Amino acid sequence: MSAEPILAVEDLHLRIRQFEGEAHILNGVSLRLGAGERVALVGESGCGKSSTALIAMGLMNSGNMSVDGRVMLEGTDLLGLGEREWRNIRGRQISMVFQDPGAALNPVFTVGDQLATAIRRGDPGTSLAEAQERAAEALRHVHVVDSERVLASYPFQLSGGLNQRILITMALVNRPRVVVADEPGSALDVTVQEQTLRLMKALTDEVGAAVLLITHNLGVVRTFAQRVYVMYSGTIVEEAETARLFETPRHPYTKALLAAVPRLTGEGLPQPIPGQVPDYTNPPAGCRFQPRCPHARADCVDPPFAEPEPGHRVRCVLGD
Amino acid sequence: MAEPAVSAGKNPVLIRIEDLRRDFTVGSRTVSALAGVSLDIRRGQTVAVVGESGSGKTTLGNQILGIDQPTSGRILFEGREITATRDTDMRRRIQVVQQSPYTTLNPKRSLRQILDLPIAIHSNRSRRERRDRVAELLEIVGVPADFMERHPYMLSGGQRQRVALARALAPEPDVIVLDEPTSSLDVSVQARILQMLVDLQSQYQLTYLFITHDLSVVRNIADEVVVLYRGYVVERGATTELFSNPQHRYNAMLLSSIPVVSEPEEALKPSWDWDGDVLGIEPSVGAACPFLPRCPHAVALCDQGVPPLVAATPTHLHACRNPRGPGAACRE
Amino acid sequence: MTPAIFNSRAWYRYRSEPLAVFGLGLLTVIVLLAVLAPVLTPYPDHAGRFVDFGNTSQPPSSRHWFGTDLVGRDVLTRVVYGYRISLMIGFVVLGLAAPLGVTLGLVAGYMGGRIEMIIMRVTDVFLAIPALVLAMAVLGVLERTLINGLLALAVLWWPWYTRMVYNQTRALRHEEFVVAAQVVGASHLHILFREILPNLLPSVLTKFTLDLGFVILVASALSFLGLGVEPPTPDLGSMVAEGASYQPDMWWLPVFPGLAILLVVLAFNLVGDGLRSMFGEGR
Repeated sequence: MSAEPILAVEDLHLRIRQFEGEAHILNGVSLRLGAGERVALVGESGCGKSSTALIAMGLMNSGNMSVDGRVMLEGTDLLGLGEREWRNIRGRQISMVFQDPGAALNPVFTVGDQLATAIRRGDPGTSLAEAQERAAEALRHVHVVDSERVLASYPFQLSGGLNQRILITMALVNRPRVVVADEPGSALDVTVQEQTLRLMKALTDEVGAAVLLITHNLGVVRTFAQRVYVMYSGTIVEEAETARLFETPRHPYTKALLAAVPRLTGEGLPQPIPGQVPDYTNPPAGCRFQPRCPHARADCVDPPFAEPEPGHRVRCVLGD
Repeated sequence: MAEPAVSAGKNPVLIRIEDLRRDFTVGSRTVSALAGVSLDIRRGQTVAVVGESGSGKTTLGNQILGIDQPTSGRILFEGREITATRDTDMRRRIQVVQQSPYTTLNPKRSLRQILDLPIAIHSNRSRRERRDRVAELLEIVGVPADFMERHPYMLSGGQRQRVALARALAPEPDVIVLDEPTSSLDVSVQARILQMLVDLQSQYQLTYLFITHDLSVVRNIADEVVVLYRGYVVERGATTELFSNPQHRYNAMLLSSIPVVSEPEEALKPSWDWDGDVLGIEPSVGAACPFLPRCPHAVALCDQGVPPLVAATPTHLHACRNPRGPGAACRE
Repeated sequence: MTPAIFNSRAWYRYRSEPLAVFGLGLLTVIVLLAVLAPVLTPYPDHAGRFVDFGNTSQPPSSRHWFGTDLVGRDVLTRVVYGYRISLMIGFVVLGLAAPLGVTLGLVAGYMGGRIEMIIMRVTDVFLAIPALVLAMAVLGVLERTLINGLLALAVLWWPWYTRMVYNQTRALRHEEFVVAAQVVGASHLHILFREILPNLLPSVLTKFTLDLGFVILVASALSFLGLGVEPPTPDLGSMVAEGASYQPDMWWLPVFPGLAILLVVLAFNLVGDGLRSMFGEGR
């Protein structure tokens, strides 16, 4: 986390008005991505990790929502942008890889058409023939054998793994500065997921793109990310370099989450986390994990962000 | 089909599956979801069936549950053949817990209605007695009994899965088919369900067929593992052996794909040549090892028909013509 | 004290569509008018056999807001009474067609095989014949009474319910909760009517509401063609038809019943759309 971040989310708040009342979904989320850095945002379902990603992509706005804070991409605040300005940014400077490749690709166009369209969006001067040539080249580059046949195919004619490969190629074809990846490959099988992550690592390295990986899987975090943010109930509770986080997790939630993962070493059953995720319309004051925390105490109502080691920050009264 | 017997465990065999085949016709082609599967499930044990989507693992579960008819082959329950047309008592003895907490419970029915159905079908209890039994079942799975009149949407995903478990327990079965029971849940919730499954198994002497794609879960819960690939059993045996000394190349690939969270676990994973050259072309059905198109370790023999299961040890079978070998234990 | 429904999630969703709320208001007014017609209308006896040759074909005035017809009856009174007939036709026709269509669709979608084939082929045949032609054919064969008119419309309508319910049942047939009921050993009857049907009711109800408007419209069209309700029963379609012959001099004769038809069809459509969005989101 040196120098200037390429993407910085600052004090992001998301509130949604619902029948039950106003839900405070994101409660001051801040995170930074350095150029070319692979960062994971990890948490359980409903913690707000996907909302964070969608806001960063300008894909979350509806009449009953209010978003506050800033999303800075190389010095520009993306939150205030209109749809027209977004079109110049999305797919060019920042792009996205979705969880389910089958749903993310358009079933009525061939893969070649979709790749060529993506290429021409990034570089409007490209002729159709040129774009198609570049599409074929891009596929060959990611070891797709028989790229001609694949380009002429519709997504449903191809395997999930191949579609995922195409989606990643498409996301990176315009050499974006940032890729947001929401659970890539997790809708597929473990072997395909592994291949997906390997490909993402190789391609983003090559292009120099930073990756914000959204995931619930700590194992995926460990193999893919250089740095991690752990999210719980709309707040970042811990931030550290990956190796450090797995070696010495400091927040009680991070520890509990790690203990809940079944281990390949077969040391018996994993440990559940007692209690339930709090109600977003009426969350506990201060640390939202406190009702489930074995170390909860009176001053949990206003936990500080401690930095026990450089780059390892934890939002907990235990601090160190 | 002569096949070496796996003698994992001493308990008597409860369910024996013999050369089970299930073909589906897709357009003009025939696809085998199960291409001759044999295995034993012993009383009181947990047998895990592992495979990716399209491996036939759910089809196998459906055959045992009697909601689908095999094309050929037999299923024996305590030595007697059972089919999809079975009497009420046979239905009672095999129950299911499914994958999705969002669709496993009918959204239009209350928990009491959902749990009352199996009790009403399989017992002569009066209305009042059934209500008491519903309360008891909810208590067993740790859902407050006064949730009885609630509808599923008012429950969390974990609570819904627990109600589904209560429904499976309601008719007092011998066997529960667990079809990815925790794969839609967060790990913190999954851990509690797994704990509950283990507790219930010892309390009620249950036998589990645990269908999953998650090998880390399998490692901690199963006595025996069956690895399915495209309708074929490619490896099966005692859990510890399959994990510590995988033989079939597909099993090795699966194990090496597991995202793990610690160094000791990493050390247990076999290595895999992710950039190795593979054939990529599908062989015609039955002509070769089903894994051949994805296998960087293929040898000339591999396209000479489907390899049969052979014994690596008395409790460990595999169907690989170029196995990792007895000495190829994982990196320590 | 507000009834519980106004404090529910469903009402919260319905309320978010202003047009649906407007439609519901309009519908409430129409239904109240129809129910309370004997009390609210100025000349209730004009709804039946009544003539006043001293007062025929009067344009709208303070005594007769919508004017009077060719035999001196108050058009406003007859329009309000016309709503009674229209609503009755709508509910009776769909009350016959919907249960029949829904049951057939459920059975075809769940059982499959030969039963499915037979039910669905018959359904397709009915769907292939244009609605009005079919109704006219039925009425051509049968005596032209109100009952037969209702039957003709019911024959017209059931296949649409069968189609819709069939498609949805097929989608639900392999849903996990249905499989779970099969595993437990539940009967077909239980699965069809206790497990599957409750999940289809929202869309059936939505379609029912939308269709009420259309049935009223088609019934009016049949009346317009002289195939519907017999005089002197006040029927909106017949009133438009009668009035149409005296244009443009006696514009009030067709215009007010026509507007009345428009409003009731609109009301049912808006409410139907509201129900659709109320049931559509969430589960």
